[in-house]
Amino acid sequence: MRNESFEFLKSIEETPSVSGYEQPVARIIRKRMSKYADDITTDVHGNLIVSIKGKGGPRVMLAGHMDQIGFLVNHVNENGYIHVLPVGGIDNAVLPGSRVTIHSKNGPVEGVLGRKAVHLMKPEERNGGKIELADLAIDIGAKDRKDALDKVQIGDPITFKLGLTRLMNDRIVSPGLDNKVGAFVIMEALRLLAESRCAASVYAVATVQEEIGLRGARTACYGIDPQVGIAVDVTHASDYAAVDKRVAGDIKIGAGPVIDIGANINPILSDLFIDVAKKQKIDHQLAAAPGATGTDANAIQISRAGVATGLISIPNRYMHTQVELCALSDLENAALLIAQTIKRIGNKTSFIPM
Amino acid sequence: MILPPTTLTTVPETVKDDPHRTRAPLPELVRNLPDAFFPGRDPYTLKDHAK
Repeated sequence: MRNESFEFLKSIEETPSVSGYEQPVARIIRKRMSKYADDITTDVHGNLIVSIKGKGGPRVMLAGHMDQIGFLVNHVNENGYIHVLPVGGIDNAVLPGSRVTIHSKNGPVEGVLGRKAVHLMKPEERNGGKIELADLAIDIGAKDRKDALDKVQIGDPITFKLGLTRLMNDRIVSPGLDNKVGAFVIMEALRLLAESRCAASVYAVATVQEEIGLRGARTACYGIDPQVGIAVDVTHASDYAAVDKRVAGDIKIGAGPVIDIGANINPILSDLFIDVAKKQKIDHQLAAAPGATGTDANAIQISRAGVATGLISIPNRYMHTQVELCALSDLENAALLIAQTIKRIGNKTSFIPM
Repeated sequence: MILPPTTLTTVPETVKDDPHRTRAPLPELVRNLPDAFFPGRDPYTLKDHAK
């Protein structure tokens, strides 16, 4: 991966963007994309829309949500411990022992989600028992409630401790790869298209609030009114222990982006993706999506009178944990596949299934 | 990727036991999902409305 692209990816991964609080990441994307875009706007919902003008072709919307799961400060008890509410699909099992950061208006406040020492647990508590979020609290080292409230306030967003780590074979690990890798991929696709103009006008949208109900894509799609929409999100890799390929399909890290096929996807568009991938020799995988997907593709497809929708997925291990894992090669191939596919969309391309 | 509604949707015990009782409000996350997640289905039970 080119150095500038990697540094862009690293910077957005290491910047907080809890659903509803995406502005810090949006500012980074806006600054980086200004040299490639014809226009950059932010709508009232917070969606960042980076666009290039085409040559009379259709409007193509790319959607990669830039929000990540997290928490909000909900209650500070008399001892200064902070209780939280979840933002998005939090897995309580991975929380005890985690480092977290509260992103207050006055700057980051570091904390930990503690857990009673195993020595102090009753036998039945060890290696079992359901973990309730209400039973956990963040310790920021405060002496009491007043001490804590001098640093944070109710409603402050919280993330796992952020940081991107490179592993062997160009694998990366970070909280929030779901789905800042998607926002990264669509911006890389737009960068590639800006270098060689195509017929379609392209709107790369870093969407907001996907993790709490696909909300940003819904408003952005209504506003842009595209003929074609392509969402980029993560999907479950099934190449590690405990994942059943009979359920999750056979998806490998580093084997290429995933082209989804099914009811949420326009069949002409998925066929076009596959044709481009084969002809351009771009590594890719296929996945069955039998119903409405849990991605922005869902909201896009049923916007207004309907949109020809595609979904490109990035294989991801350990989704919604602090150690989500992806491969850089999958990100590069996804951007290339999207850019090359959009170049094939002309004024007369029809996506009406007959 | 959003956590699928099948895992978010819980059926309160009282509803399972007595369908005539008033249902608890849907969790906010589920309420906010597009209707397409529940085509023709009861979002509580994910069963077909017609059945």
